[in-house]
Amino acid sequence: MTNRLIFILLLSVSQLANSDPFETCPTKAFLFQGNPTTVYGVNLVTGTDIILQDDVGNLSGESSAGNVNGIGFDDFIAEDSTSSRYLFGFNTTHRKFVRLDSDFQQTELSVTNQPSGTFYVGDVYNHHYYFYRKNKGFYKMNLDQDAADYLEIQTISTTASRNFTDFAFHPRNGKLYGIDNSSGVLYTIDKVSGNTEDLGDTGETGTFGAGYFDVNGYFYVSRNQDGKIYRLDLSTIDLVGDTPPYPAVEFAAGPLSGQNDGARCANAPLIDESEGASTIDFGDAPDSYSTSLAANGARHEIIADGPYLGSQAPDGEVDARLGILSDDSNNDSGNTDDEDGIALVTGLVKGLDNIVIVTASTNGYLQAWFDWNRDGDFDDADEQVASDKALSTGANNLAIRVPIGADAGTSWARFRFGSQTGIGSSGGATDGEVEDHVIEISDLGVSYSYYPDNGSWVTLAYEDLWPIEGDFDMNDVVFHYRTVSVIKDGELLRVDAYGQLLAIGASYHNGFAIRIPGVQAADVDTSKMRFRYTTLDAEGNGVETEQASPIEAASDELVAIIGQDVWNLVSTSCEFYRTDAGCTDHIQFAFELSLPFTSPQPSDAISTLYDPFIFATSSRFHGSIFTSHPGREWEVHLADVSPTEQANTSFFNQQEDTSDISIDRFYKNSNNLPWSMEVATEWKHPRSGVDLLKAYPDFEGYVTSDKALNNDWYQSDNRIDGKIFP
Amino acid sequence: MKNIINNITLILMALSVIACDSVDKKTISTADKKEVITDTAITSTSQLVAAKDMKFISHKGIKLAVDIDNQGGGPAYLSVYSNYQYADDNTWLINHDSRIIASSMGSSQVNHDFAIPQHLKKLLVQVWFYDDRLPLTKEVEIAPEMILSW
Repeated sequence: MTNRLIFILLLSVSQLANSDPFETCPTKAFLFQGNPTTVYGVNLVTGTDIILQDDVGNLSGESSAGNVNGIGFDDFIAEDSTSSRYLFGFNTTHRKFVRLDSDFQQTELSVTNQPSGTFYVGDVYNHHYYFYRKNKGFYKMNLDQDAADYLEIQTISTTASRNFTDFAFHPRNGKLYGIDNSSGVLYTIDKVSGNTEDLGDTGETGTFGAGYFDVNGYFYVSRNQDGKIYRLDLSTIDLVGDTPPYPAVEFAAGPLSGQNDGARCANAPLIDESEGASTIDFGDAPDSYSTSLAANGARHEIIADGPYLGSQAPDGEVDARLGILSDDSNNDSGNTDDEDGIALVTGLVKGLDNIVIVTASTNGYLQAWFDWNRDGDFDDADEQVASDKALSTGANNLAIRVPIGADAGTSWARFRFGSQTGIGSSGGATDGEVEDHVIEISDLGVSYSYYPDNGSWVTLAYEDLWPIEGDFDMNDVVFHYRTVSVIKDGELLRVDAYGQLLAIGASYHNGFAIRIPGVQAADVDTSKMRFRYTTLDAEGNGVETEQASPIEAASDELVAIIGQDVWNLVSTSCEFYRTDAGCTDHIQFAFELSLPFTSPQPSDAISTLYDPFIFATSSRFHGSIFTSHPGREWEVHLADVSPTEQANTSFFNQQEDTSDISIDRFYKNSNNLPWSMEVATEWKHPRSGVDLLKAYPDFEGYVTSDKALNNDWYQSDNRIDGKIFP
Repeated sequence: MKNIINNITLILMALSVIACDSVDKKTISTADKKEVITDTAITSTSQLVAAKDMKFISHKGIKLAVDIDNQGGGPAYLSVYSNYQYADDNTWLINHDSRIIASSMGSSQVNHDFAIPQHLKKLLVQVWFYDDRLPLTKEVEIAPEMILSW
C-alpha cells in the first residue's frame, strides 16, 4: 500500500517536474528492471526498495518504452553552479543511448560512432559515459555539451574478456571496478587502456547485475538470482598495506530480478546525514559485535506501522551509538530511549533456565544472541539462543539456559525482531528493530546494587577555588555518575563506575578520579579490569576506545584516575564547556570503569558513591595562594570525605577552609558549606556565574532546615529554568 | 531622706528607662531576626549556614529483608525498581532500566542494605522463580527498614 501510494505521488510529481535534472546527489541507489523498465529506489543499508517510476516514457518514434540498462549517474555541476545531474544508459530494446531526468523519463542521445550490438554495462565518471560488452569492447562518450567530441563514442579497447554485468567507478580514486560473474574475481579496469587487473576472489559468484559505490569507497553489488546485496570494503584500497583479496560480505537482502542494472550517485553517503531523515535503527553494543555501518552492523529499516520491540517504535539513526553513550543511556542529542522491549527478570544465573520477557508490537520472528564467553562477539557455537522464534503480540516469556561454563561478568546480548527469518547478528533487515543490552552473567547468590539505578545518573558538581570560597554556581566540574556494587555473601566482588562529563565552568585545569575506600590498589584483578572512553560527535555517534590502566601507581589505596585534565576530554569554541546558555556544546565524553577484585572485600568497603573527587592537573596554575603548582596534592572531595594519601594536608585550614582531621571534618567552610555536592538526578547545573540559590530557591530551606524540608529541591519543578544550563 | 528617695526614684527611673530600652532593643532585635527568615534576606548560597554534619549528598540508606519461605523458597530472583506504573489491565508496567537491586536468591531469605535517591517515596519489589510459579510483586512505601514476607 505504501509503495503504491509513493508511486502515485511520484507520478504526480513527475508530471510536474518535467525533465529537470536531479537537484541533489541522492542517497538511494537506482535499480532498473524489466521490459518495460521499472525504476526502483533501493536503500542499500537495509535492502528495502520502493518503485520510483514504472513508465520511463517512449522514445521519439518508438511505440514502447523498452528496457533501459547500463545505467550511470552523472553528478555534474556546471560552472555556473546549476545542476546537470542526469542518469545515462542504453535502451537495449531500441538500441539507443538515452538520458534520464529526475522524473526518470528517457530522451534519446544523438551519438556518433555508435558500435553495433546491445550494452548492459555502463557507468559515468568525470562527465563521460563508459560502457562495456564482453568479447566486443570497452568505450567512452563525452557528455560535455561544450566539448568538440560531445556524444562522440570512442573505442578504448576491443579486448573485453571479463564477464561483467555491471561495473562502477570508485568516487575517490576514479578507478573502475567490476566482478566477473563466472569466477567471482574482482577486477579493476584501466579507463584509459581497458586493461584489467585481478584483485582476487570475492568468494561469491552469480549475476551481479547492479554495482554501486558510496562516498566512503565501499562497493555494493546486487545479485540477480536472490536479490542479496554484498559489500566489498574498497575504502582503503589505495593505501599501502591494503592488499587483495576483498571478500564480498553479505550486507542486506534486496529485490531479486532476472534483468537488473543499478546506478547510484557515488558521492552520496549511504544514509541521509540529516538525523531526522534517517529511517534506520541500529544497535548499541561495542563494534566488535558488528554494530556500526562500517562494521556491517545489525540494522533495520523503520517501517510505518512495522514490527518493533517494546512499547515504543525505534528512532532513526545515521549510524550506531556505541556502548555507554548509546541511545538508551544518553538523550542529550534528542534521541529517544527505545531499548524497552527486553526484560531480564531473573538475571542470567549460570546453569539455570533464566526468564527473558520479550515484548513484541506484533507477530514476528526473533533472533537472539548472548556473548557467554565475553570475547566480544556472538560467533561462538552456543551464543545464538533464539533462531526464527515466532513471537506473538505482547509479552513473550523465553527460557534461556545460561551455560554452566559461561564467564561471569558484564557482557552483551543482541535481539533482532521483524518479519524476516534467517537474519544473522549483523547486516541489514527490511523491517523490525535491533536491541542490544548489557547483561550480567553471574553465579547463584550474587547481587547487584545500582545507584541511582541501572539506567540513569546522579550528578556530581564541584567548585575548584578551594580553599578559597567559590561563587557557588556549582559548575566548575560537573559529571553524571553511576555506580554498581557486585556483592556475594555480604562481601564486595566488583565495583563499576560510569560517568559523562557534563560541564567545565572553570579556567583552572582539574583531573577527575575515583577512590574505592578501604580497598588496596593491589586487590584489583587487572586481567579482568575494564576502562573505556567513549567520545561523541554532535549527532550522538560514539567511538569507544580502550584505555590503559587507570590505577594510580603511586598510591597503596585504590585510586582510579579517570582523566588527568578534564579540558583534554572535550573541545569547545567557548570560554567554558556547557555553562553559558549561548554555547550549547553537546556531551562529548563518557567513561566506563570496572574494578573486579582478586578476592572478596569486606562489607565495610561497600559504598554508594565510593569517592569521586577532583584534583589539580600537574604543572598547571591553580590559584595565587599556592607558591608552586599544587598538582596532584590538591584535591576536592565531597563534604567530610577524607583526602587520599596523595593530598597535601597543609592546604587545609587556609583561606575559607575549616577542615579538621581530628574530627573527620573535610572540605567545608565556617558556615559548613561544601565545595562539592551530589545531586540524585540528572541535574541541570546553574549557568556560569549564577548562584545556586537563584537557580534552585528551595535549596535555602533544605539547608536551613537541616534537610527536614525541600528534600526534592533539585527536581525540575523546583528550578528557575532561565538560570540553569539548558 | 528626700534626697535619698529622690535619688532612688531617679535610679529606678533610670533603670526603668534602661529596662525599657532593653526591652525595646530586644523587641527590635527579635523582629529583625523574624524578618530575616520570612523575607529571605539571604540572597546567595554563601550566606547560608548549614548543620555541622550536613554532607550535601542526596541519597539515603535503607534496609530491605525479603522472605519467600511460604512460597516454597528459592532459587529465585529479587528485583527492586523505582520507575513503574500500574496499568489499566491490572499489570505492572516496569521500566527495567530503573532497577536498583538485582539479587539472586539461593534460599528463602535475603537482606540488602542499599541507597536510594532521597526524593523517592515508593519502590516496587518483585520476585521471579525459575519454575512455573508466578512472580511476586509488591509496592512498598519507603522506610528505613522494610520487611517483606510472602
